[in-house]
Amino acid sequence: MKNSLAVNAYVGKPHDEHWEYQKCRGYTKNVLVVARHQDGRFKRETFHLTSLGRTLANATGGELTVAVLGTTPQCGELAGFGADRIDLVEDQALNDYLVDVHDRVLGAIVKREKPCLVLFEATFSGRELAAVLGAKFNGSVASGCTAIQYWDDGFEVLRPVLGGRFKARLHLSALPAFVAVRSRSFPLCKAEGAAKIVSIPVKVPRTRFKNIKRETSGQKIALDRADVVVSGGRGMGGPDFSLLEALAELLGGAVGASRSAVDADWRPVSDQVGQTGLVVAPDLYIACGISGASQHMAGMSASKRIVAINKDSHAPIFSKADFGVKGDLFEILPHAIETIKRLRSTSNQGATT
Amino acid sequence: MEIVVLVKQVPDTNAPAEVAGAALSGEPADIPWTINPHDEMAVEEALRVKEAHGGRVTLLSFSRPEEFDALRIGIAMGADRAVAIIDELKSTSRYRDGLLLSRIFAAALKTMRFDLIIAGQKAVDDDAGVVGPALAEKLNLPFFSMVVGQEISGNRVRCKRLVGGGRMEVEAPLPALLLATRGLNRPRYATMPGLRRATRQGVETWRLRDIAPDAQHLFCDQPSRLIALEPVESQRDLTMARGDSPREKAEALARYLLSDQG
Repeated sequence: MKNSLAVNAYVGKPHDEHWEYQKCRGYTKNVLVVARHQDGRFKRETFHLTSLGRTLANATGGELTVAVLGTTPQCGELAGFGADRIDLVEDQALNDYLVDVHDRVLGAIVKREKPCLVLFEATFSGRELAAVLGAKFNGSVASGCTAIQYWDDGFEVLRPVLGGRFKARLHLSALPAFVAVRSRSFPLCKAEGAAKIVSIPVKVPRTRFKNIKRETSGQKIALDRADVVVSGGRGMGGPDFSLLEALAELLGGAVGASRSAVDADWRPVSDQVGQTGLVVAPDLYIACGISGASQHMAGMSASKRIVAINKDSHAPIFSKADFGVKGDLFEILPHAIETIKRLRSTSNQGATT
Repeated sequence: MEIVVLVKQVPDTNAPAEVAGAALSGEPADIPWTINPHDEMAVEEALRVKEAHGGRVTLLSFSRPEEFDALRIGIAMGADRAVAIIDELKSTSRYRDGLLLSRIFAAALKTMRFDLIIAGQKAVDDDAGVVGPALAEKLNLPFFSMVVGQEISGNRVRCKRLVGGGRMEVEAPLPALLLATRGLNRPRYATMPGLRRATRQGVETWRLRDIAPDAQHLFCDQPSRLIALEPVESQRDLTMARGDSPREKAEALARYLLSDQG
């Protein structure tokens, strides 16, 4: 029903006419994916994004191009996920992200390729590039999408709104569509074939920004990318989050915090999970001493599994959790950490004998 | 220093989900409204810039008359002037396309004087974050997203911003656009005398044709439209850790966490 709604909502703009109109503006049925790499390696998310691009290019009947900005080897890897062509702008200056440089280089590629759809990863940079390019080309923009579908009269996307409590189904009628997706929501699709690598002659502009200083944070794993997030709230009672850090370290995760913990200056604002902070969706979310205000729930309710540890058995967080522990986290967590270590070492011994 | 702050009214983040959803889709809903929290920080920062360098703070919004509370809060905090471009678009939904808004704000700002524009990083209802970057592009301004600190000296602004995996400090000439995010400041409260002043002073209203003669042509076509809002049902069956002592419960938790890890 919803799908037919998507089509019926745009009667009066039959698809051929729509494509004719877009073709007047010169847009093709091709799809462009913007790759991301660090230290000479593509991010895993880029392969997910390329796989999605392949599926969508098959749907539109166009070709899939991947734009690679900066110096990176192994471009051929992208062919393994269905790229037909790789547009390469090899310049050291593009290795570090600066919005005004990247938008102009990507703008030149979009102008040249005329894709009907440009896919980004829904990172800070992906989202803002999508918005800037959307404005530059008078197209359409959608960020943080978890589903995307091609219709003859444009694209339809699903994106979480109201802190993930709802999904908005949006129809993007203006092309090109610039869409930032949560790429890990989409499966990897292996493909065979070799992509043509094309060196794009774009002059890399100079940035308008001056005195650029970068510093990296202490967190080993970025909170919004972590598979496991261990968060603390008011129940932590103070700035000592060492137990949560130990558990996060053990599970290969990152530490987050509720708004009240941040407001109390126990944790930096960059750690805040919630509707006004970061929205996360890890495989496992462990809420320690967090009551579960709707503001916080909106930032983590999309997590695959939620564990709650709280003294108060009436805390709302329990109604949204898969696994709950009623008790004092300062008594529970040290034992839990010890037990995890013990169980792991026993299973390792079992595996080696 | 002429400072313009973009302001949006949103459902209170503590509003029950169904009510907030109904409000976004355009159904009348009895709902607590508030100023978008990131915009509130933008207003606060504008007031601090004004206190340090002098000038005037103007709030700018695209809204319906029933959505003026956010502007009143801004005035009550200390802004000098509030301007609302009245939403005459025929959409029933409160969802507004970010690119369309950026076109409208760009047209309005071209009729105004400004040295600095400050907006929230994103609105917490539609969670899009499109307006700021798109507006900077339309006005050809340098913009800083995720700003957690700023310093203006002469005609330059230097910003601290959060970036993936760390922080960054950059500088650009004014006029520029800053996108405020949590950590930038703690907004002051709207005072009772301030709220009284806001009521007395009122909100200046502009029509689309005031800012662009060919408004109908410019703004009639939304690049994206809301088709449906679908509630996200999280079906979870709670299992409580068994055991009487913390040690037993901890053991159950550890086993659950490890099974989850595969």
